[in-house]
Amino acid sequence: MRAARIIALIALVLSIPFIASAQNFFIEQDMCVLCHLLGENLGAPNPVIGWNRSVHFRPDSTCTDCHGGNKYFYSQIERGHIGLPDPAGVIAQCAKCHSREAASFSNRPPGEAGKFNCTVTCISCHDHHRVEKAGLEIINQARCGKCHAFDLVEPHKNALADLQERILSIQQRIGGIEDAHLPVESLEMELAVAWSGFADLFHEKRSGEFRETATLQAESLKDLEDRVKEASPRKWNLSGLMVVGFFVTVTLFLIGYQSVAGSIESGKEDTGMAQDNKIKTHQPSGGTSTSEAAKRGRRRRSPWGIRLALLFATIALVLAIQGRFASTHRAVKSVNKTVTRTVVPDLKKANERAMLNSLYELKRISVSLDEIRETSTNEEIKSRIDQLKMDIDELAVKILVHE
Amino acid sequence: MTGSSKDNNDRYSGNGGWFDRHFQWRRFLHDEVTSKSTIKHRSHWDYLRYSGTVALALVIIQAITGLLLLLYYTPDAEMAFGSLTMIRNDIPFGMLFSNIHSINSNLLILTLFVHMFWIMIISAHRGPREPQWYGGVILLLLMLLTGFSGYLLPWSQQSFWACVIGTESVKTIPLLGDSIASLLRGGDSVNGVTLHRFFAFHVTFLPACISIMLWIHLKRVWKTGVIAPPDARTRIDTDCCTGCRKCERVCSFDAVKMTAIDNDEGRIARIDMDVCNACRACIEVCPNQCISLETDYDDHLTEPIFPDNIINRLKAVSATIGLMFFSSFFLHWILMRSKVPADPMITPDKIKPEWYFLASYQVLKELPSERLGLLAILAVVLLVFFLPVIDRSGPRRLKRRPLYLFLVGSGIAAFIYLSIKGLF
Repeated sequence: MRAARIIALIALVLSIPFIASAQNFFIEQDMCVLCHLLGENLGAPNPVIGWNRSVHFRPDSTCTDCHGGNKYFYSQIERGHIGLPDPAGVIAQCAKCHSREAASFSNRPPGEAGKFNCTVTCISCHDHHRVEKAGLEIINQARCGKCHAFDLVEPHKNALADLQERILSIQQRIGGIEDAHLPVESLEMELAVAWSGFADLFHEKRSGEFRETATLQAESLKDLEDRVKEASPRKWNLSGLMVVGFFVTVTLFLIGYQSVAGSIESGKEDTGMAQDNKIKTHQPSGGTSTSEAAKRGRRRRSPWGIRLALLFATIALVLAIQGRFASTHRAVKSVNKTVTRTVVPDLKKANERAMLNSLYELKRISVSLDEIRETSTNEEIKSRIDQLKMDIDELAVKILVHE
Repeated sequence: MTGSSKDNNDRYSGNGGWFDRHFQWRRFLHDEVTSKSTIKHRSHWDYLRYSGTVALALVIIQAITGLLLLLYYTPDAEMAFGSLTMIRNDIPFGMLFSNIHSINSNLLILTLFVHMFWIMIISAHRGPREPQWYGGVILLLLMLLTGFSGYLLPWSQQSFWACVIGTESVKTIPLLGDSIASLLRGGDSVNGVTLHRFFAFHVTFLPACISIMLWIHLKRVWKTGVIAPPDARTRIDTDCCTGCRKCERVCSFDAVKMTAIDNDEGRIARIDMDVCNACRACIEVCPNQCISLETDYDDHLTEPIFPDNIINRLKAVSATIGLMFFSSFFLHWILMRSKVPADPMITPDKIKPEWYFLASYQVLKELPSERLGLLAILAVVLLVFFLPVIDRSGPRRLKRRPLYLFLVGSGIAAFIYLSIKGLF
């Protein structure tokens, strides 16, 4: 037995690089992994393997974050190792990094876990070690049906699915606007706020509040959809074609006018009715007559103007066809109707959540300021509120740009 | 205002209403525009002679769009980038005006270069047109400085570091380099004060200088008129000439010589065709209008200013503005705007100046030292500025000036080559 343990330990040490999947931060990790990877007293599924496949598997997240202790003195209780956390303290534990989600979930300040009439905690849906990005699929009969009928949950799930579909559609259209090299910073900010609100809605357990918030979000999405529609590249392209077409028309008109006017003027010169010309031109002796010279002048009138105008017209036509094709192509590419696993966009950076939280807070402050402005009759206050809103917008842009 | 005979003088004696009484605009139009003629284009390349008018139209567009942007732009290091983002995103037509202002600036400088090269090719820098040339070179330098100052205003990574490099290279000027760099930057490094200063230069000081120089330039152009094609020459009608010698006195090229008549009863003017530059100064002063232009072609050399010449110029302007709008709507991605605000702590991998500084930037990189590079650039600028002194007389036809054509062509080719090389 002892030999088996020694062999297992050696094998474990040798397999660390493979287990770490080419990431060597295991060396920096506490020694918990060495024992608990093959430990017999932790049950299945093995927590270390689960953690390895979770979104928490990263250098800034360790076992000691939740279980306490010290990576060098791993199992000593006096060094803070708490082992299995108290279920009542789960929300407070998660709130150390996810304060916003914990607050929206419990509807109370983070840390006051267990003071609501539901035993659901973060790990009820997100699991304790194999934490993956949550999607609508976690709302299902097996998970929710443990405590109450799924009929109560299904309308919520449908509402969330509808919102998600709309937000994804908006995201796709904003992508199209960005591909056309048109500005999307404001729209992206609104989109980030929409995603943040959607993620918060996930955690809203009170039915009345859920319905109210979902309705408000649907209305704000309607505004965002209208804004995205306004910013569509098609409108921009059409406006461009009209303006360019106008100048092409003006150029063609001037060329045509000059051709006609030139014919009339040549006629005048033939009859000796030339304008008073301070600079006389001398026709070299033996040269051709005036009328033939005028005719040659007409024949030699430069075709470059017409060629240029034709070129512009051709380019405009090509662009119009391309714009039509592109819009048709986009219409054919319909929004993915299936519920995706992704609740929020592919947020890779660790501080993006904090950014979304900040943006959502700023949005709420902005909405509150709007309400105060509507009810106020004091012009000074209104002006001050306008200034504050401008400051909020600038701050939001800064947050978004700095990511 | 007695209502007497309706001769030409009475027609323009201010009977056309309040504006005409106080400003005599009808007389001005008749004397300066509708009764005059000018040289007209003959070949395709002659459209380049309208590059000056096109440049003027682009300057006006630049001023208008600049004023509109000025309403919303904030020249502060913390807010500049955000204000431009706000203009592009939230202000109606903000994106369009921002694109027009950026693209038009590049198109304007391109047109100015074309204008300058064309003037060099047809040798219109000589004779009575020297002040136009000097003023034009100064105008070009002022426009380049305006472009450089405007490039910093977005306060993006691209513009910030381009300004750092640009102001750093100024330090290589002996004795005064550090002081000039400090004056430009408002300190030792590029910071918020630099933005304020560049904004002040871009919006007040440089436009004021440009306006003054432009006024002088246009006034001189209007006085001397447009130059005739290089193959044009002046001919004097000997039967008409009275020998008053006004043409001899006004000729900058000593092309007019007074020669004795056969019976020695006086002298008449004769033109040395090899030296005459067809500047038309003698045509303007001849009291009997004995002098005319001639060419080897049988085309009409002139056209009335109104409406023919104006329509030709409007055609060129309209086509160019159409091109500018086309670029603003469909090709604005070539601006390659940086979407990252300025960060003095992060140096981008590649920093490139605007295309009109690429050639000089490349010269600085090619030569062993920066000081040598600056000297080379200064030499080229002085050579171009004093071109009327270096090339003051002789035939204008390019076929008879192969060396000049070679030098000018090489200069243009070198500028293009260095710019392309600097880009990569």
